[in-house]
Amino acid sequence: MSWAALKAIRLAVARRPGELAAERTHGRKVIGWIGYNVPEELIYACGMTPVRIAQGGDHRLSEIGSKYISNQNCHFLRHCIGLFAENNDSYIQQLDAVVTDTTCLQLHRMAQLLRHYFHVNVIELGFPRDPERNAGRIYFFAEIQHFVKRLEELAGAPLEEKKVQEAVQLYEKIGNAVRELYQLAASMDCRLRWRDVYEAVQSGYWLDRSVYLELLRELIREVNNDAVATVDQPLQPLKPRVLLAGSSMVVGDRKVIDVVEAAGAEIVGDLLWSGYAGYCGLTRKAATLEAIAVAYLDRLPHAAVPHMELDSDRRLHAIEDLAQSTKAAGVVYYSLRYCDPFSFKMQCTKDWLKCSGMRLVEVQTDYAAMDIETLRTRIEAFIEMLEVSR
Amino acid sequence: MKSEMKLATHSANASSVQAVLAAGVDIGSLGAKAVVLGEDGRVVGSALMPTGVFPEQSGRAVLEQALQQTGARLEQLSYLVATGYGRISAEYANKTITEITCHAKGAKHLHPATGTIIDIGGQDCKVIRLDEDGHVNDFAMNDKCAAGTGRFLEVIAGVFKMSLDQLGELAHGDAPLVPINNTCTVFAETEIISLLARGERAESILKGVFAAIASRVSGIAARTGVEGDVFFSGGVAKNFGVVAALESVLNCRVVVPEFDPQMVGALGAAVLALEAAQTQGARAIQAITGGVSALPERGRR
Repeated sequence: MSWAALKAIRLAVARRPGELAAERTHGRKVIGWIGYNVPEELIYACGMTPVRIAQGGDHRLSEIGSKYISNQNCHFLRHCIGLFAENNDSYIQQLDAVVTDTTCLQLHRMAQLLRHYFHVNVIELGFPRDPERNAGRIYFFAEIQHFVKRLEELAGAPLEEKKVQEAVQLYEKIGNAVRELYQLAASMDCRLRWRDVYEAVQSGYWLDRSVYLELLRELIREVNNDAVATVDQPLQPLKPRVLLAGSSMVVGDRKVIDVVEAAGAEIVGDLLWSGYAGYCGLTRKAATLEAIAVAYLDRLPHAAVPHMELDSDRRLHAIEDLAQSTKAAGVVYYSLRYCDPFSFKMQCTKDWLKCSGMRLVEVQTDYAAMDIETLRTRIEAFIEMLEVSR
Repeated sequence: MKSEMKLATHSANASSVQAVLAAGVDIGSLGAKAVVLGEDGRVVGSALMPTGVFPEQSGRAVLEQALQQTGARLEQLSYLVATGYGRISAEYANKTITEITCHAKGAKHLHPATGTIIDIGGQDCKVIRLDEDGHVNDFAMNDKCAAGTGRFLEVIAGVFKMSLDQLGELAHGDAPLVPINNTCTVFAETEIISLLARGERAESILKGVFAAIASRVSGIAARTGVEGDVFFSGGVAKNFGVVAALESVLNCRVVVPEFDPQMVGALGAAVLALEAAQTQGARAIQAITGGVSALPERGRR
């Protein structure tokens, strides 16, 4: 199915580097952000343009990154460093500053390297190891206040309450639209596919927020009209349905997705920080700095956030709930090589899901092509296993 | 320990060619294997040869060799399943199925009490768990590193200037084990050369090598768990030293089939082919040179 709104999104992405260049000539600053708990809406509220740095999949860039940090660090991190080292990317070239957070400590290393080797203006936002404890919450709120101060210095103007309200409203609407699209894609009565939604979500890394919201709403309208028109037809392919989870699959990192689809499975959802996880449970209850801080503290925790008790680990419940709500038969769990937080969480996630009859296969890989046949065997065998049990 | 069950085999001549012949071809990273079954499920032909650098040609060649033993032509095959890393090159097959499913089928066929399969092939190592019906319930594999696989043993054999068969026999004695810290093929070779220079006995070093392989396998097995009879397939299962080390580390009996363990994947593929042929009825496929099967199927990739 070819969606007109998705085509419009692609066109908007193609135009975006030129738009950013034009904005910068008028004095608007472009701020790149990399991380898991960066309140992007505050960058927007300060009158600057946030751009998410989330590209991957090019082993050559990871190798360039390895000149600056040991190759036993995650490929995404090394790829990011490679992007800055090469400086050919049309977004990287236009950044006035970069914001990172300390949720994953490998990102902290990257922040140091960007500052040291490439003289990037880096703002680092501290995130507590335990976001549920009061001390952690007080710490993060202080970090948010410091973060805003740094943004105000960059913007050359104080943050206005009205701008925070507008930003919170806009970002809440975007979050609602993204969640609705994911729900539609998981529905058996809809021709929208997960890969369409994932493309739309990843396009949002770069697009102007207001324009992006309108494009998402247009896609929702188009899908809803289509579903009504074709209600008597089987709209979803009858293939084994799988959910993706684990490390981020950023823009350009298509290896696992392509192998899963080529193996004859239908991806019906994801719990990836490059996709749905970024919107999972993120709700700002008021347009204040404190409410924004609380929203990030209370959202689905990243794998790097320690939590000992499995029964109360919201990440395990989230993946189980999502697998059930999307009617997935199994989970393909992506461990990007040296992405320790997700690699470490794999076995307990597998054991947890097993208790509810859900199967999980781990695929540990990187951006190089050399293991493609091993990967194909692993995923095809998993799909064969799911087909037998259907 | 050898499996109690023997698979009936015979070589057929042209006059005894059966109406339904099904075959499996397993194009592995180091070896290409083929097994042909008659309609009664008996092995009527089998062959093994190095895969070399052209898996597509090796797959055809090994299949032709196996068919020669039956007196049959390829056109008389009712169904052909290809497996192994080179399966995608087997355009002439009716269906491709992963070696994980095929090893499960082959192991269950040879030893019905199989609950766990350890398969150590040329460049990978797998642990496969079966459910009560013999279907794959879980599996785990090594990652892209070939440490502790058949290729690893080949390199070690090269250091000792021995054949692979001699390696296992040499480690049978009472010599004390010398621990090996590396299963990385490159590092282990260096470590072994250092140990030999230090005057350690070859038998002791080899025991250490086999223990290191077994330890690595047990790490993979920990991810799936081990239940039921443990069946060992793949070329490395021919090495008594590795079998003994596995039995020691897993603390259980390890079943090695009398049927060539390296052929278990091809056998499983052939059994699946026979089931498909019996389901669909006997139909000829096109000549091998035709390239494309006459029985295109949903699962074919």
